[in-house]
Amino acid sequence: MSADEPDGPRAHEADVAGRADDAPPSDPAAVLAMIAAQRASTRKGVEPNGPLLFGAWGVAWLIGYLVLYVTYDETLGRSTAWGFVVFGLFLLGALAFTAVHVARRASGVRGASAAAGAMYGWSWVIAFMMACLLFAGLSRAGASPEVMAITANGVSALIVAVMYMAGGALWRVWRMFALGAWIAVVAGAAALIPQPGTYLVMALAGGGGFLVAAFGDLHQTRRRTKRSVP
Amino acid sequence: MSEIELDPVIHAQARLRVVATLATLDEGDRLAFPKLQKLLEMTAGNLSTHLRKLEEADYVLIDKRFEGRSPATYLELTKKGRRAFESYTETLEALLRGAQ
Repeated sequence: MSADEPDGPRAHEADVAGRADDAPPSDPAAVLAMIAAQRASTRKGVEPNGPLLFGAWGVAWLIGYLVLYVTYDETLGRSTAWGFVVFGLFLLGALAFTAVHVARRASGVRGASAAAGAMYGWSWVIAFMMACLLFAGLSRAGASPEVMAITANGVSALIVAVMYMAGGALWRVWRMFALGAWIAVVAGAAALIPQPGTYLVMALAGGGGFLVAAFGDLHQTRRRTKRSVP
Repeated sequence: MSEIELDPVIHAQARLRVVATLATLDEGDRLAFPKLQKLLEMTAGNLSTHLRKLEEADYVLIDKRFEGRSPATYLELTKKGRRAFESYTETLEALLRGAQ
């Protein structure tokens, strides 16, 4: 910030000394650039970093699902327990990273959008808690490992897909909506493919989808930053 | 740059940065004082002085409350403040077009 603000820190000292009405730079273009820089740094301080979060989930899905794919055991008819533990750790890591990042950025912001964000966050928690009850019920009813694998994966991915589409609608972010729609397609396709192909599709198309969104976002942000600095 | 057309409340570097920061939030959103201070890299005393001036002009709403036992201050741009910031930037853009 201070780099593109010629008399920033010194002007502040002057304010303390009593000269409170320091005029901004006299060139309109410089003032507009200062405003744009301030707005950009504010957005960086209060809004979650899309590429970072998409990237974290992309890596977690890519590696986590690949682990499920390679630890698939034909005789068990499912991936090994170790495979699921490693997969779970990757997802928990991405979840913890997301929670800390979003909480940090959103701290100190109150009002309409904070309430919307909280409702959105709770929607994830409630949906996944209820999905776990559904899986427990299916297991109790005697669902085979294959049925369990298809349902657990399909329902979870569908929740992610719907939440991303809803998030895109909520914050009017097309990329987020498109990513959700893509995950829905991937989840549907993965359910039709015999095990362990499901996990390979989830890793490459699902995790890959997150990474494509992350790079797309990053590219767009860079381009926008370049444009706003004359 | 013509000084007459520009709003004197906003046409001061520190207050312009305060208003630009608050205008980046959606309408109806408030920012906690420490967060605003961090985003602006200003001292608490300096920021308070400018916020008081913005409050006098009815551009900023200062909401002091208690969160549990600790006091908290939230800042929000009023409709009037948002309109003032928009017309300030529009004036700058018009000046820039005129200069080209």
